[in-house]
Order: sequence, then C-alpha cells, then structure tokens
Amino acid sequence: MAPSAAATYQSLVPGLLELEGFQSNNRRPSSEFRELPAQNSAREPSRPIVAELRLGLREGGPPARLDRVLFGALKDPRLRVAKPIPLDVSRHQGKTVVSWKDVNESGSGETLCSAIEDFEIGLRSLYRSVSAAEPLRPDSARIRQILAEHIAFRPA
Amino acid sequence: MSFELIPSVLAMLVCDQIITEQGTNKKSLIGIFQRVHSPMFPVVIPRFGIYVKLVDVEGTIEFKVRIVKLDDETLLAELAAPIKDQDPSRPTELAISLQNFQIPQPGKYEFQLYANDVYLHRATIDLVEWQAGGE
Repeated sequence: MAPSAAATYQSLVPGLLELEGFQSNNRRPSSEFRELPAQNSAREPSRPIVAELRLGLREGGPPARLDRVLFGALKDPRLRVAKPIPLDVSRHQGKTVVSWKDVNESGSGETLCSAIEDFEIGLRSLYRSVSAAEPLRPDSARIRQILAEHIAFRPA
Repeated sequence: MSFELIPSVLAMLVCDQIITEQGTNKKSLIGIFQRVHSPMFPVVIPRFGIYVKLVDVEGTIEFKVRIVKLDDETLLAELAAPIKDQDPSRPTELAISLQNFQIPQPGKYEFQLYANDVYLHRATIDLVEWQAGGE
C-alpha cells in the first residue's frame, strides 16, 4: 500500500543579502563565514504555516477541463490585468479553444494552458493595435473601451 | 472573493527541496527538475516542492494549485493555500511541499496556479518510464 500523500505550504519572508561590513546584532558579516549558515528545509519549516492546506488527492480523478476560466496572466512588463477576463472553454477538432466573446479574441492549443498562452499572445497584439490606431472605427473603439476596463499600464 | 490587484508570477519552479537560510531568509532551491525517470508506474515521489515568487499580492488571497495529467486532462489533486495580509509593495514567495505523491502513469503533468480562481501560471514535469541502463 502506497504511503498517504500530504502537502504543506509556507508564505516565505523575502531574503536579504548582507554585504561586507554589515553587522547585525547576532551575526557576523557573511564574508567571514567559514561554513554554511544554519538552514531550514521546507520539510521542517521554521516559520509557522499560515493555515492548514486542504489536500484533495483523487486517484483516477475527474476531468480537469473547465467550461470557463478567469484569465489574469499578461506576460508584458508594462501591462497588467486590472480585472479578470472571463474565457469560455470548448473543444474543437481535438484542440482546446478559449475565447473572450466581448472582443472576439480566442486562442487554441493541445491543453487548456497552452490555449490560454496562445490567447495571451493574441490579446497583447490586439491591445497594441487598438491602442495605436487613430482614428478608430466604431467597432475598434468599442473593443478599446472593453480592453481598457480589463488591462492597465503597470506603474513604473 | 475579489481583489484590487491581480498577482503576477515572476517565477514558478519545481524542485527537490526549498531551503530557507536562518537570519537572512534567503532561499535555495535544491534540485530543480522537469523530468522524472521511473522504472515502473504508478510511482510515489517521496518529496518535492513548488516555489512561486509573485508581485502585486495584496490582502488575503486564496492560491490554488491544480495538478493535472495532461494527456487526458484529469485532475489529480487540488491544493488550496490561503495567504493573509500581504503587503503589495514587496514580492511574495510561496513554498508548497508535497510528500508521497503518487503519479499513476508516465506522461506530462502540470501544476496550474490560480489566485482567487484566476489563472496565473503553470509549471510542467515529464514522467518517463526508464529502465536502468536505458538510453
């Protein structure tokens, strides 16, 4: 019989690089270390676990396919998603298709996530094209307004 | 649950172990991997970790990791990790540690990260049936 699965998680404290000359109350400068400083592995967490992790392991589990997914992952350092974008998920000719009907934009791929990534590339392209175009046709103006409700510039 | 800011993922990595240095809280990710060889299936992975670094995490957010077998897109597990009272002015780091996780068959498996049910990112590992001395 296989051992039972388990999982834990930690919200971690950001790390600190101590440069030469830095002297904290209870530590020598890191440049004087002759051996590795004390370590904690995730197996034996030193930080309290914020809350119990709910683990629902299901062997031979249900389909992971969703009918609808919220998108919030723009890979552009200047832009961020300000409001989650609702995507309809469907299967077409063996591929997964995600679509945002409000702006008539879609993406496809072998899996849900590859379809989402394809959508993300198209969405960035659409955002650039309607942002740059002047004057806008009425339909493009409507799309630009919808995009502006969901996508914002990231503050410098 | 809604939020003012939608988190963005800077890094999401699967590894053997996540170590935090006392005092500085610096992290070491030991044994970052993408492929697993096993002579038989199902196989139990004794221990591995998922490290995520994010920005724009504000307030209380429920992170969720869906572990999905990609060839038929079945859901193996769903892990919920609520994070409270985060300061959006600095990055958030999340470490998920799994023990004795059973993988039923060879193939690609995906760890899909959601925040308040909004899809953010994924990391994929490839489980390969591999005999000792094989090419």
